Amino acid sequence: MKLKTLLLTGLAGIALAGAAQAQTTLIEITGATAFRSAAVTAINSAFNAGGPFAYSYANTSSSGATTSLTNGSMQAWRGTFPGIAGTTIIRTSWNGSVEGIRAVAVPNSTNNPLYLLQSTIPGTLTAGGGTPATFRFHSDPGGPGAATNATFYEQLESDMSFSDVAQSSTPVSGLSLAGGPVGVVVFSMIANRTWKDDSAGDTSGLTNITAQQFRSMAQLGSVPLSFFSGNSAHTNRVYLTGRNDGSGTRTSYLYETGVGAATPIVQYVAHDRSSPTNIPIILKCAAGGGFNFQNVATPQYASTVWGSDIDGNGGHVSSGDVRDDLSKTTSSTAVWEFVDLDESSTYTSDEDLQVTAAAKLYMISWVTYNDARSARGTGLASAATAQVLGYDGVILPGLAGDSPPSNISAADRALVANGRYTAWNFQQLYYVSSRTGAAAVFSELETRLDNATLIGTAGMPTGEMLVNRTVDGGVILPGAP
Amino acid sequence: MNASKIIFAAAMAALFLLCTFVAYNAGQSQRPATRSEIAARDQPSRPDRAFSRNAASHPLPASGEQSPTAQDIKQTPEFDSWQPPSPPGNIVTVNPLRRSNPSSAPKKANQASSVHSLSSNGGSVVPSAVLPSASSATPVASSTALSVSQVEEDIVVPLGARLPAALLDQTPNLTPQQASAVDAIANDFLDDFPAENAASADQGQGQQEGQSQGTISPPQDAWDAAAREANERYRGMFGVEAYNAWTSASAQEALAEKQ
Repeated sequence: MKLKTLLLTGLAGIALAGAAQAQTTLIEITGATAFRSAAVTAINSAFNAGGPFAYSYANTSSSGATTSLTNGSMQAWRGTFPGIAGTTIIRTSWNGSVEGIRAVAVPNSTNNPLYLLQSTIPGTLTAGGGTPATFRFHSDPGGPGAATNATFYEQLESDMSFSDVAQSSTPVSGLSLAGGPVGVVVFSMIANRTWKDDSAGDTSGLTNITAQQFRSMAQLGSVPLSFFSGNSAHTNRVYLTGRNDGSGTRTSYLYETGVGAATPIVQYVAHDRSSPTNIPIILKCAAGGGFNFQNVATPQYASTVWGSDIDGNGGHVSSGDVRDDLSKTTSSTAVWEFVDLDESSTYTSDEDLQVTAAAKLYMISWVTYNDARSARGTGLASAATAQVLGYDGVILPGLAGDSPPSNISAADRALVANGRYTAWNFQQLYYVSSRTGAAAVFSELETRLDNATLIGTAGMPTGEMLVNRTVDGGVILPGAP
Repeated sequence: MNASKIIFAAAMAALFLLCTFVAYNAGQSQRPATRSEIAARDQPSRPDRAFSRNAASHPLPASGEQSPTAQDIKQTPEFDSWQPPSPPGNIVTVNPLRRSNPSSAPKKANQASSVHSLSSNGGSVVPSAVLPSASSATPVASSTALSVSQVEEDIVVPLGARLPAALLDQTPNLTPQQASAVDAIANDFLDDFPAENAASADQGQGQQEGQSQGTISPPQDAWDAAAREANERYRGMFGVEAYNAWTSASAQEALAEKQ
């Protein structure tokens, strides 16, 4: 009798616990900044399909720039998600593809990203989501902003991660991840505004970069313009800028061009980013991240994934910052470096020195189609604020031409889908299969992202591909994925 | 009442043991295999091909000496005396040759023709052209690169086949992350290949017995496919210069073996 009572009580308890668990499913998604606009749109549309919902997002980036829902660094939703019973809360935090894989596969206090608190989501669910709550994100970890951040953000383990590259392209092991391709992310080489402004002069007709030229830049940090023009009188230098090694975009360009993702490279970033139109100083990325011109520490610039946190090897933490730098002029720009003057083995904010006087220089990087479109602007090609370059002899005509559309143009998609243009990777969505709801979210997002309109300029639907590749940057083979 | 308690306790104990077993197996399935586990798994799955060679019968090379080549092995009495059911095609199979103290028996990368030993020295290869202080990315002897953490495996190599670059790479001074990536490529290759190799070896054998059918791929196809993917990953991670250096060494070695 007592045994029966005990068993019944236990079963009831289990049932109640199960019911309670089914009421609210929590999913945290991190990863690729390059694909976030498509991912955020897909998540938003899924909640919208589920019924009334509410959401919030961080309206400033880590660099302090104002952001919208789809290009913000953090978002949160509450509502009904298709395929998951009860209420679902999804929170997103975009920190880069490789960083994202590391956060999911190796969760710990170092790798776990910041997410918006559940309490930031408005309590009332509304059809269409209603008005979102927005919160500033303070980027000064040692300053007064840190305390304010603590009231809106918390560090959490992640369940899922978008990535521009496969887990096998990274040094991250840890938890075994499920998932697979949910789209194709398309990239483009791009030169900065001064290159575009000189298109009637020294850079006339220079609209392409080869893998070999890119490898020279990655190895040396800069090459003279004569490398591109064949004219020895063109001595102004062309500098490489880009992301740190937590970035899938960087992993992609180092894979595709044959530099090697694990290979340390030399990159420069704008040292003084205060002007909206020009860059007066660029800086060779410093080991440990260094400091910006305003003496604020920038540890986020360091490359730590491959264990090569050395001078030159760092880069921007955000693709938006690369994009912004490229749309500014460098017609009179000095080059600075950090030098360990006191031989303390660490850099202090006053150890940045000018190594090259101000002169005209150019900058080149590889960014997503979406970022290239933003950097060059959406108007006529003649009025572009950056120069879209072809890669290995193939240029995307829709992106480089007049008024690139809000979806990747049919002509550009055809070059990718048929294998002629090779600067692309599959966009992966990984998840920990044991996490409740993760498989359902994967399935729903995979379906929604197979839609060119929803993806927009973030990439292409996997279903359009007529070619395949088994390894990032690897040989392209005929046949749909 | 006491009986009920005993039954309940027994049921709980059984449940606990079941959960422990399931959790252990789940952990086993999720955790990447170590090289020693791969080695154990790759121990002769076909006893009839357990060529009667072992470390005791064939002394391991001393420091600085070359490892046995495929030709050396073929010429050993044990190999000659072994009569396979049918010709093994162009596959040379070698039993595990374990070194009790790997660091005392360094092995040059370009000596891995038929018996290949993987090494994981926890150091790192950095493309030298980028880092002024880094060493050359060209193939180098590993005599100074081995450490106590080194684990060695022996793999079956089709005669004349090229080893993937990741199996040859012994560039010193890798960061732990870079070393881990090389190991991951090598482990994935070893994960993929042994089963394919075994199957293909069977097929290759079958092909020789029934060549008129012409429908069976030779074993080297499976090797080449697995090696191609491993090489693409390696090239992507470490660049074309390191890739070219190690694959050139591999090609030279394979050519020498064929000759």
